[in-house]
Formats: sequence, structure tokens, C-alpha cells
Amino acid sequence: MSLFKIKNLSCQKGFNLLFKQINYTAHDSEIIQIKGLNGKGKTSLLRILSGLSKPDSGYISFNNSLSDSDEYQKDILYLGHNPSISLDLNVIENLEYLRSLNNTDLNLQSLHALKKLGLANFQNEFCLNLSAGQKRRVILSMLVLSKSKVWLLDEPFTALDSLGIELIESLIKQHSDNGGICFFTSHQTSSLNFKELVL
Amino acid sequence: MNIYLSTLVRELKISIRNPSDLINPLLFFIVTISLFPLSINPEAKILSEIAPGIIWVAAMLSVLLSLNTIFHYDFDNGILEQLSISHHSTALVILIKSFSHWILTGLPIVLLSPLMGLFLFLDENSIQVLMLTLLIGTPSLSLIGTIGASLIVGIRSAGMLLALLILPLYIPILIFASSAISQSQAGFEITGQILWLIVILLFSLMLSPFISAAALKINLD
Repeated sequence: MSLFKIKNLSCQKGFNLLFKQINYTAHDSEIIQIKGLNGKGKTSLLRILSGLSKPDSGYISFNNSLSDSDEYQKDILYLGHNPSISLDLNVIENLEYLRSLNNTDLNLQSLHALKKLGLANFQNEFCLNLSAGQKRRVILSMLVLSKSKVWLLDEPFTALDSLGIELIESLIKQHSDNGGICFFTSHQTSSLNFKELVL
Repeated sequence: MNIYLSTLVRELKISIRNPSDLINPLLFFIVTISLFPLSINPEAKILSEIAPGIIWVAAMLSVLLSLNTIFHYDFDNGILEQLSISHHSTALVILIKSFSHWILTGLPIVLLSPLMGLFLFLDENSIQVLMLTLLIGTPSLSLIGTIGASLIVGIRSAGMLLALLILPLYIPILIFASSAISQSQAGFEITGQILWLIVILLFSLMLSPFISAAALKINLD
């Protein structure tokens, strides 16, 4: 059984204390929505959970591996606000590079993920020519390919149409059904069955 | 494809698709050198005496012009975030990025240098030494420049700051390289200068990727 532990986590930006002494333990198959008003630190918390930022106090561990270890990073997939794609590369080139950076299932073809996200016909299109929603779908294709146990998704539904939102929700649900853990932030209503972590 | 090879291929593809990033530093190199005969004196003796300094200063400034491209786009689009939290060695990926920067900036300068040497009346032996110093020295320029680029990556319009940070670190390379060419013109031994350039290259190879990785981590926090 996997355990994702957040222990006494605090974060301050400048003079602004975003959150203090957060404790949470997530188990297999849990979907957790991080809730809070704008500026309360949802993105900061996800960045700390991903290992991008350091907390002012406390620590995070997954199956006893701390957030600055390679084992932890292998189990984490973080998709932030940024598109994480280069506009000068085409869709498949961007996805292949993202795959090489992350822990993905080598048995799955990138094209399979693009088909699932509705981008199969755009695989050779330069990302410069894609709409905002399509660019978002390129990075979200990683949800099909990822082998990481813990997903950290910052506003995953931004720029997506209703079909896109349904698709991402189904991928999150499938991940949870396979025993994965998912933390996400969203200001939109979701049909997912999730727990809440309120900041 | 592993991460290191795919990083190299990606960097080369992006640069080839943005030819201005590739060509502008080279044009700057050629134009800067062309200005000296026009402004100083077109006499062969004078130009061949000052040629080592001119070519090396132009090479340094050309490399400096292109440093911003190493991390800037990847910082803006979030690729550096993905790199920083991946389970691969950030330092090694940065080393590959420095290498691709050298292939796209330093190597063309090395290949163009015989032409520039002829333009400034350098003799055949001096041109060979010039190429040798550039071959050993320009990778150091890319590696040291990578440190500067990683330090200023989050700052807008930081070109001047980058120059202030990096140019002092380039001075030893400039001194040993131009001294090697001048000494060879005078018929002296240049082993000492070449060895010093190799030492600087080895130190840059060892330290630059790790310092740059640490600087990027701080900038991404």
C-alpha cells in the first residue's frame, strides 16, 4: 500500500504566510482537490509537492522517499500552468521529449495518447499553430502515458471544452482505479469523487 | 531515445527552425571584425599584429549575444520545470545544452576563423594556432556562459547584466588565446598557453553544469 505524507508543511512568500502546518496523508486510489481562494497557495503547495519549491518547514514523502530523492521524482507527474511545450516543435516531437523527461510506459506509443486526446491528426503540426485547448491537450497526453503513481495537476481543465474536461476526468478516475493518487486544483465543478484539502 | 540524445536533437532542431538565432551571432562576428580595417589602418603589418585580439574579442561578444537563447525559451514555456523535477541528472542535461550551444555558435566561429585570419593578414601558421585556440577556448565560453544564462534566466532584459557577469570570467581565456597567437607570430613556444586553455576547459566542464543546475533550481523555486 502506498502512502503519500505531507507533514507540518508551511510556506511563506515575501511577508505573506500562505499556509501553515499542513498535515495530510493520502492513500492508494485517493483523488484530492486542493481548495482555496485565489492567492491562498494552491499552486505553491503543488509546486512544493512536486519538488520544484522548498517549503519553509515540514517535509513530503512517498513510500518513505523524501521529495528531493530520485525515487520520489520517478513516482511524481507534475503538470503546471505552463504548456511545457516548444512552439517550434511539432506535437509528436514535443510529446516524445516530455516522455523522455518523465517516467512513462514504454509499451505505449505516443500516437496512442494523441489519439485518445483527439490530436492524432495534428501529430505533425507545429505547436505554434495549435489553439490554447489543443496545446493543453499535448501536455495532458502525458496522463495516458505516465507510469507515475502520484499526479499533481494544476488547473488541468483550463482551456478545455466540455468533452476535454470529461476525458481528463475519466483519465484521473482510471488512474485512481489503478491505485494511483491525484492532487489537483480547479475552480470548476467536477464530477469526480474526491476528498478536499482546504487552504 | 534517451534524455541526453533527445535533448541534443531537440536543441538542434529548434535552432535550425529559428535560423536568426544561429546566423545573427555569426554575422555579428564577421561585421565586427570587418570594422577594424576600416577604422584603424588597412596596413597588413598593423592588422596582423592586432588580429588575435580582434578575432578573439569578436568571438567572445558573438557567444555572449547568443547565451540568452540557452534557457530563456525553456524557462518561459515550462520545460525547465519538467527538467528540474525529472529523475534524470539536470547537470548532465545542461552539459548537453552547452554542447549544442557550442555546435551552433562556437563551431561555426572556429570554421569561419581562417577566413577572418586571412582578412586580417595572418600567416598560415598563425591561422592554425588561431583555430586551435578557438577550438579549445570556445567550448569554455559556452560552458561559462551557461552559468551566466542560468543565473539571469528569470530576469527580463538582463543582457547587460549577463555581460557584466560573464565578461570578467572570459578574461583569462582571452589573455591565453591571444597571447598564444602573438607568441606563435613571434616564433615562440605556445605549449604553456594551450595547456592553460585546456585546464580552463576542464574546470569549466567539471563545474559549469553543476553550478548552472543549482542556479536554475534557485530561479525555479
